[in-house]
Amino acid sequence: MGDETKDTSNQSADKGSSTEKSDAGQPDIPETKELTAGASEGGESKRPSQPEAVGAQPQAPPSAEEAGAAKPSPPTAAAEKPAPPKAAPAAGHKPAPPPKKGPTVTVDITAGDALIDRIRERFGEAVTEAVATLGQQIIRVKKESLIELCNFLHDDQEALFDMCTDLTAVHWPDRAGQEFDVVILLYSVPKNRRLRVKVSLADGEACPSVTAIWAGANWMEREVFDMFGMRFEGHPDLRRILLPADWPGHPLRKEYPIEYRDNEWTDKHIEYREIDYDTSLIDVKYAQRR
Amino acid sequence: MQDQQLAKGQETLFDAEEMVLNMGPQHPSTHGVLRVILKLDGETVVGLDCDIGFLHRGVEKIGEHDTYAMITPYWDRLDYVAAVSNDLCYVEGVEKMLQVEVPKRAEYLRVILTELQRIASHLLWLGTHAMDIGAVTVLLYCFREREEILKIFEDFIGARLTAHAFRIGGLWWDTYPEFEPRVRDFLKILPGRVDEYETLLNANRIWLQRTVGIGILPAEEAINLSLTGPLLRGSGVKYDVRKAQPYSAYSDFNFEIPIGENGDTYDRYLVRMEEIKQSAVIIEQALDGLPEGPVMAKVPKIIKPPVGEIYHSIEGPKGELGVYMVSDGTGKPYRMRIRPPSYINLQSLKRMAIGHLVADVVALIGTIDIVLGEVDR
Amino acid sequence: MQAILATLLFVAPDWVVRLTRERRPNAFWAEYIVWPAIQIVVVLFIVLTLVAYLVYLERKVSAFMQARLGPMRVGPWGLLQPLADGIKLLLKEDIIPIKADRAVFIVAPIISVVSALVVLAVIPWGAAWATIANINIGLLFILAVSSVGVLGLVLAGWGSNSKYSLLGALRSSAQMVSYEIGMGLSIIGALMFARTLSMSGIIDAQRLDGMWYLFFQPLGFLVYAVSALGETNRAPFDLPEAESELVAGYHTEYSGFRWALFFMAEYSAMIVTSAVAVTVFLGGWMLPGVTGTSLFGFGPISNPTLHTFASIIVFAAKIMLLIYAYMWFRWTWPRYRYDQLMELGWKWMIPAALANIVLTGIWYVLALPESQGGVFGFMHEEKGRLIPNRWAGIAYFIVTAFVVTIPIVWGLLVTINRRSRDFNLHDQRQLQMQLRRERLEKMLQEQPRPAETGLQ
Repeated sequence: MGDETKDTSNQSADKGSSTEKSDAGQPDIPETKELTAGASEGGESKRPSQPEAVGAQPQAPPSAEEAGAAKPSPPTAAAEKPAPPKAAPAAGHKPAPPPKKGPTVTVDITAGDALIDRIRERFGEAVTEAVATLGQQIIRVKKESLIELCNFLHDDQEALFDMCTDLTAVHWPDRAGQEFDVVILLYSVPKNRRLRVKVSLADGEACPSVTAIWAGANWMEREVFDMFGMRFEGHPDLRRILLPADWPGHPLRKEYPIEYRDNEWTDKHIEYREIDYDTSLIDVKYAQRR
Repeated sequence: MQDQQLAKGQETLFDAEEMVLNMGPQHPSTHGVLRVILKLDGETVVGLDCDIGFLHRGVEKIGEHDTYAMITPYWDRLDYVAAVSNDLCYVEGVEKMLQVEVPKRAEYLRVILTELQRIASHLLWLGTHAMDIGAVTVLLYCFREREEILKIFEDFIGARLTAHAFRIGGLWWDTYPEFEPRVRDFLKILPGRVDEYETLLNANRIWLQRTVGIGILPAEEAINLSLTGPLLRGSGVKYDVRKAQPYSAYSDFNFEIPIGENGDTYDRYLVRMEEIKQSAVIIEQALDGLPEGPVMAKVPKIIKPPVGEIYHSIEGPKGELGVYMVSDGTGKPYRMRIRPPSYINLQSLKRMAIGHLVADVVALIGTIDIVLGEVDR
Repeated sequence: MQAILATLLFVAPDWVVRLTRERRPNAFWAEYIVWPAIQIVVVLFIVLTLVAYLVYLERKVSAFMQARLGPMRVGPWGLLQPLADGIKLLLKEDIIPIKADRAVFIVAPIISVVSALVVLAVIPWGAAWATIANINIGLLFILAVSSVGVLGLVLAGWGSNSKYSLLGALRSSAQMVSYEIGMGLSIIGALMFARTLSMSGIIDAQRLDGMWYLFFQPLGFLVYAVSALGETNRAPFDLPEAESELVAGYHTEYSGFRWALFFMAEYSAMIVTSAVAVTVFLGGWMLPGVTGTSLFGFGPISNPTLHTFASIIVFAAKIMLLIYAYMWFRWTWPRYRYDQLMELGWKWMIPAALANIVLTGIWYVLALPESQGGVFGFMHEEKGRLIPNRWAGIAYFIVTAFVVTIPIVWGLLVTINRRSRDFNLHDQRQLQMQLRRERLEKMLQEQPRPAETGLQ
């Protein structure tokens, strides 16, 4: 980060620590339950949205099948079952945070940053979270406002985030209704500044595509689709990119085991297949040899 | 399936029947296992699709199951012709999370090694790019100089290609006594050798005809496509992570960021050639100012970064190489995302190639400078 | 000593001729069957060995240029490498793709290699008896037969039933047809002076004129050299087999000895085009100092056989010089693109050759003796043919060729090609920029950004 942003984050860190010490720990990413319960502004607006997401879940699986990919694991599995086969490491990860109150590095951006203030002013409750981790700014936005925010960030004369550096996702199987974070890393060439935009999604929910704003996001979204099974609405060409089209499952989901997963696919494709060539020619050739 | 998708919905220039040509994955000039599906009208490309993933190892998934220290060697194998640069990205990312201060000497040595690696990578690029266009001899000349760099690496790190140079917190070994004179010797011969390549190519009529005006990317389009590295700079955008957001010890050195004007293949060639020279300048400064002291910071045996997340990027030879890591406070990253410059730059192939000829596709694959180990991860 | 050596080494052919003539009362057999058969065997043996060693030479030359060693393992300095290669290729499994057109696939390399080898018959390897068939339309024969070779490539590309092969075949047919024209036209200027199509006649004409036609026809030689590169598919015109694009072009699907036949054809074609260049422009087997009676001042030598062998060596040396240039180009230059190749052929080579013909004709007519309608009278008639006057006429032709013709043609071509893409790279760049912008705008129109799709 540039020096200015670092300074502001330090300032905000000071403020955050001085005002309410307990709040600083709250936006920590793993502690999602606390976040939904206790986030100061977004909590109330998010609660009504949760039933919607639950209601949307039954619709999601068929559309995911339409996308031509292998069926993602049913969304209910993550919500109800604690751990499918190899979610053990993930589950092993999860209980860890509460006891580990190490040095926290994430702080709220309360005020002082012109751009973040502008965004808050413009989008109000749609921005549910604005934090800085190690001086790197992150804003979390509701799915419905993502495109509008991205357009704003791209075009606004003070933002000018003209490059989408990276787009990826993180799977949090224990966060009911918000299993996925889509993370968009933006960079502004004229302002030399970075910003991270996050969107929380339920399993099976589709994310609005930002390819129309940043054409470079095309393959990144395809990769997220490939690895997480998350669809992107409005993507021009959503296909699997790194894995074969008929690969079972989406590897970067936490319930996807690391071992023995490729055998099934390999067995299917290594087997001997009849070639529809004119076999008489082959016979003739070998007959001549003999 | 992809063939059919290509055949559908694309407008055609003439009422001619198109031919679908399958370039790769086994093809002399796709730099590994890239598969390019071309739709040709005569020899003009009217449609293009890249099929990648033949080398997919799931490094990001492996990263979630290994400790922070165990992941480092996997990074060597991403961009396997620039292993040292990859290491730097990951190692600095973890250090940033741990908030570890790396000793000055280690930072300088990292800069020296990374810049040597950049020269090596650019030399390999130049050789293969020129060979794709038909000038075979340049390849051998470039390998001659690259060999010198690899020998320096071999004696320092122990490996030539997947040099596992850095550790979290610094370097494992200090330099050996002959290191500095050898690097200086190399820097002494390098300018003459670069002149040699430029004699062969810069004013060569055929080289100009093959590269000037091929694959033009205007600056806005290049930014919009998330291009980084020489591709972006060739289009005239002065963005280099080393200057924009200095990492390691780069703020200590004076160097120029070369940029092109037109964003065509020739400009990108010139940019890379200039970068080789600038890297030599940086190494020279780093050698002159190389401080004494330890090369390893105090790092806990078991690395457990605090809960949080980090994005750290460096200027790799191919472009902005980044790592996005989420830590949940345990010894393994909760999520490790690699921002591979080759992968993202490769997107521009479609934009650049349509309308050009088959021979230009080869030149354009060369100018993007992909390494499939990094594209497929 | 000289005489003994000459006897041991060089008298055999005369002895053979005498023997065939004495023992066989039928001179027809001796003249047209036995001696030509010996010649053919010898020439084929030498040329095919030479082809094998040209491959070795190519590898050594490229190694020399690329700071490495080249083949070193088989024999001293890798000298037996061609032998090893040949054995390997002979013993390789003969693979014919199932979907290939078998008959065409098999015939193609044969056509290619035969057309390349037949041409060797009319090449004047040396003075006197060293030509197999000294026919009076030798040059025409070479041009005609060598253009059959392209059929082999086209058939190979078609018969392989592979897309790369097909593209290679299409490229090669277009390329060879285009460059054949330039090649044929470039020779005409020299033929105006020689006034014969016989290969040895052309060499003789250069002897009588007292000057190699290279100096009368520098532009013709230039056009011929470039066209010959294109005609033989050598770099920088090796598009039909462009490795980096088309894998191996028309011979992608070939392996083993069939593939070797294509190689043989290519290298034989190199030898033939070089031989034609040597014959027409470089004075054939002539070299100052090598005459029928003396060898670089040694002499007098009365043995005609010795002269023949000396001339063969001179001819071979000149050919090797040109072939070295071929290799030099190949390992130095990048490859042309297909459209640029065509532009070079049609917009530069053919107009240059045509302009050269016209201008040469004008200078020739102006230089005729006054009795025949000339102005300067730099020529005189001798033994039934027109010969430029010693020094004055020769100087006139050289000066007109170098000082007048080349600048005029250069100016002409630059004027013609002012707006051509391949000449004005700056314009090309601008054009491409403009095209890209247009495409970008079109793309944006087709796929507008969803500016206001979000919730308000």
